[in-house]
Amino acid sequence: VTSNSPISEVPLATRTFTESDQLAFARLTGDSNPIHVDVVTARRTQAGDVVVHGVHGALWALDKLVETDVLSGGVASIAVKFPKFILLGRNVELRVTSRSAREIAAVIAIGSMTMTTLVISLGGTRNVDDAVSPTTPLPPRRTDPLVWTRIEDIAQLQGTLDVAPCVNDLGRYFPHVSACIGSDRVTAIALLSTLVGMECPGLHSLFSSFTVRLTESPAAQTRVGYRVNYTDDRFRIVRMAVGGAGIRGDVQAFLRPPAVAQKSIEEIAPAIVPGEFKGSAALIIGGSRGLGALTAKVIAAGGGRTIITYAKGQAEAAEIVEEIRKHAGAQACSAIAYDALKDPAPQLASIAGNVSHVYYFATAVIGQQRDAPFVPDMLDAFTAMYVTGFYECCRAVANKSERQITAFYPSTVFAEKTPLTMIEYAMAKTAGEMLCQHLNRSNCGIRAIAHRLPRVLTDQTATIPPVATRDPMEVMLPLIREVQSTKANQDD
Amino acid sequence: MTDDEILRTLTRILRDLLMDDSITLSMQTRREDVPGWDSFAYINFIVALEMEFGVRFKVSDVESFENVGAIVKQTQALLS
Repeated sequence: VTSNSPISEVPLATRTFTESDQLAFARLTGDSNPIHVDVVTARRTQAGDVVVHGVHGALWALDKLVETDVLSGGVASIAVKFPKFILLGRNVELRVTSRSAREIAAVIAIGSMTMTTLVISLGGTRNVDDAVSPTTPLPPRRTDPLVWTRIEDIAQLQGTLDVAPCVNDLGRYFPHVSACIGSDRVTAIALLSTLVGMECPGLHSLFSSFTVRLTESPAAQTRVGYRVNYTDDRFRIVRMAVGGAGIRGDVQAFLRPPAVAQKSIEEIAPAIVPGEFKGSAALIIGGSRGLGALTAKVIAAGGGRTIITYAKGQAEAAEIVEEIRKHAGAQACSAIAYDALKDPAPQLASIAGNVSHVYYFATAVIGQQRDAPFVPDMLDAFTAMYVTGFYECCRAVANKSERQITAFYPSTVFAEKTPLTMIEYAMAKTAGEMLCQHLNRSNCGIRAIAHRLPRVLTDQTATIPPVATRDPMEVMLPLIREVQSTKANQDD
Repeated sequence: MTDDEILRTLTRILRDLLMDDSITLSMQTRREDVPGWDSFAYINFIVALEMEFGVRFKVSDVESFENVGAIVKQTQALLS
């Protein structure tokens, strides 16, 4: 076997996975986990956006390896790892990294970032007994993934997936690799995606890796059995043995933390003095979730009027509005669509009356994938969101207002101690702090208050492994009181 | 087992994980020094290390390792 070498210069194939590709693979396999097909849900996962099915990428790579004759002999086993998410719309390249008579290694890469690794051992299939007997009854094809949140609840799971209904379609979808190893095995591999995304760990899953040996199964065997054989509650790891339909091997996945739910207004209210925010009208950019939603509930619980904005989460915003109105009355909250990168004036035109306070929780995905120490385009994007977007929003509100407005700018502790992978984010937030100081000196009708927030529990900080975070309410309540204490500019 | 032997094993594990034979770990190597050694790869590395040596770290240890040397030392402590 030749040694692994750096990624080869010339890609064997390139591809940009699209939304229609996602839907096609989801239809063929039944893996319609929202992280793959629902942009609103996917943005609240660790990926921050819609993710290509890892197995889809792997089977595409195998199909191309066969089509280009890089892979032409018998296949003994296939080992695949998914170290990084492939997001929709990104151009990926298939590169062969080593090749010998016994093994082919390849990667799916974006620039110098390895997204998927494949090691194909060459040789013949083996006659082995299936490690997992697919004897349990077949479940119905699910439209919604199973929901597990505790690792101990899935430690004993086992079940069966049916290859037969989709073997012809998947055989046609991946014709070259199907001709090489058989459409039943291609389908069995494709259904590993369904296993992880819909069954175990289901809704809150991240596929980590799989290794399968190709076996000689009885001709009639068209089912793949699975059984959980290892869990690790420290890192929320699940491993399963799989077997049947010509494959036998192991699958590893993570049970990721679910989206973070902030406290309800009923839970918040006891900590708020009734009427302490009365007379204020707060525009909360990014108020449909996270700290924005929490801020809206706090102000409404204190008698203030809130206008929350959403970029994609219209349904989530509607839920926040309903919750707040139920507790604080019909005038306590409304929602509007808002894109922080577009002209604010027309977007804010529908707001009636003066706005006294702006809370700017617009956000992008912070921990983005990178292949260089500094990515200028990332700084540009963060600056547009966190500096220009903040300024333009405040200016538009101030222009409509008869009095000075107060704006809250959530900066970050990463401005002091910057992780290597967050330099552009920290730079943009630091620039935002400087802008706040400048606005305060400029007598422009905007009083800006910036604070460096610690890591608090939000969708973006709910990571694997878990990182220590602070209670958002404990952090935000004193800050909101400071911002709201600017009584001079409030309605009577 | 010596620190050097553990270090060589850790290098092999990480090379296999990241498919990069150019990786050479030292006691001073930090995660951010190795391209691609992100949080998921780190967990997979720790789990592979545990299986290799038959040890089990506490989550607090895993979160606090500042460099490879700290991992080697803690592995050594668990082995003894």
